[in-house]
Amino acid sequence: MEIDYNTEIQRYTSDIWEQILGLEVTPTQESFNPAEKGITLVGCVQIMGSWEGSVELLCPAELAKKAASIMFGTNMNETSQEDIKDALGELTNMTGGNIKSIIHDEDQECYLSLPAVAESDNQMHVPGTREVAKATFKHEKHLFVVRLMKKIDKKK
Amino acid sequence: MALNPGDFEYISKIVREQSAIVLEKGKEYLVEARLTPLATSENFKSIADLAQQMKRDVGGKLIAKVVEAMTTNETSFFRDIHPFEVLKNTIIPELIQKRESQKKLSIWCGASSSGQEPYTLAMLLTENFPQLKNWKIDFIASDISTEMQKRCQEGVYSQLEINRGLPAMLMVKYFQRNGAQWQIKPELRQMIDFRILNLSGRWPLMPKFDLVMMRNVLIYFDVPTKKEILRKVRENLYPDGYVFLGAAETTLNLDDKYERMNFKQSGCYRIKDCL
Amino acid sequence: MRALVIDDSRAIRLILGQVMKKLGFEVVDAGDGQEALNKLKSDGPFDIALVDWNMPVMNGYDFVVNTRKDSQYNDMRLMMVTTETEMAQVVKALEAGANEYVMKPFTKEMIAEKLTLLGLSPE
Repeated sequence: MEIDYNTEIQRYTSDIWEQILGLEVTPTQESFNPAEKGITLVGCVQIMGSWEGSVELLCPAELAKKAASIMFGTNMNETSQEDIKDALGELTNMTGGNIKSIIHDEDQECYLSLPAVAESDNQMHVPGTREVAKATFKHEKHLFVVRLMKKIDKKK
Repeated sequence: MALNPGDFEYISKIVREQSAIVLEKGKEYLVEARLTPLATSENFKSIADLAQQMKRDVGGKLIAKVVEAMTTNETSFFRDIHPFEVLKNTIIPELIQKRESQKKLSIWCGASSSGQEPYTLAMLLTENFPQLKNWKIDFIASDISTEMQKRCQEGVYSQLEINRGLPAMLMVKYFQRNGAQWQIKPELRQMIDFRILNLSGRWPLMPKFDLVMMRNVLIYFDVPTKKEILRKVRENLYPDGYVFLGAAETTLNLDDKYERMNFKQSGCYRIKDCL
Repeated sequence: MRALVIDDSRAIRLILGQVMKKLGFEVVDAGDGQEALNKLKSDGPFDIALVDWNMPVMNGYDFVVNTRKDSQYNDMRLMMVTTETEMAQVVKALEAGANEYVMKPFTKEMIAEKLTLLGLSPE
């Protein structure tokens, strides 16, 4: 069965933000333009095994802070960098884990790396990969992006 | 959150106009229970504030959320667990004994919604009573909504739904993954005849039942309709059959021909003097 | 009743810990499988452990395998709470001795319903 990755990414992402954070996020056609919006963070998990690539969550620092303050039950102004990294890392892990489950054959194993979180200039590019799906979401004034990157098969 | 009579009247009117669900006096608890979470998540201090805003809700977005909160069925597999334990430990073994000579059982789930209850029952039967394999099982599950009937037949659930109340062991055994969705295996789907039926309307001709599940649906109807439904359930029940209502529901003051059986939190009834 | 919450994310430890406390459990947490095994040694068996899968040092699957090797933890319920959602992973965890499985993202209701299935009813 052909799976529409974008639709599934939209569903998983909405579910995660709703269930864990209680925030409503909606898919949008607007384009995410981080350069003009201050610091952007990126959470990334690698997928290894029968399907190789990564899942990235690009998120404005301010929105990541809001997510962290909800998860840790703290005020926005007392939310630490460590809290933000932890929260965004876990959101990325959940997104990546769910996406992983639909991209590989059931009889072959696939593994998920631990999440990494860094500041991004949006041009963060993992060499040797190409984008296979991308969905942009809106929460209030913030936009964020989930990308699925696949390792390019050198044999071809 | 408390609810004042004026707001209750207003909310009932809106819900009735948009969904045909009647919230007569005495249903204040239902409105409070369903709308308190919504009021909190929408940052209202009270249901009164929420109602105020509804009156100014030109786009109807808030009203739509209120109607949805009042009408969506909170449901899970093995919902409330106790009735299913009673079924497994007492009722089904008893019915098997009573119907041993005919080898025939008939079951009706009267408000199957998205199918969790009938499928829970189907799993419970298959898992615990392998002898039923050679029996004739008439298993009807009905709902008022065409969409729900279709959903039930497909038996497809999202990850969020599959996470609710379903033992992992049964998920592994009776579901298959279909992309991002989880689908009940065909052998279970084929056990159940899913139909459309409006409990408050005219009922089609149905067989007599050994077991009727009518849980958490009577709350949606006014008293005369509740009485009518309970009477018709009785007429469609074998004299020694069983009816399950929701744990908080009762036949008291509605139909005195039922008696509640003494199982903890299970809402199990039978017809008086059935023995 | 006592619960051991094992997850490498502090946020999830906090959220799951709060859920369990609300359901009447005393909660201890650990950031990986090895730390959790150490807590078992120092604190004795718990009624239940909620176990993430992907963690540094020792993952949740290995924690389950290790715990099930030791008969003093036979009665302890092990419930995976993880973003691993393939059917094969669920089967693998159950075969290793996990009693229940919750796929992330979770809600308080999901956790409560699964605890009821395990006979650890909040009421």
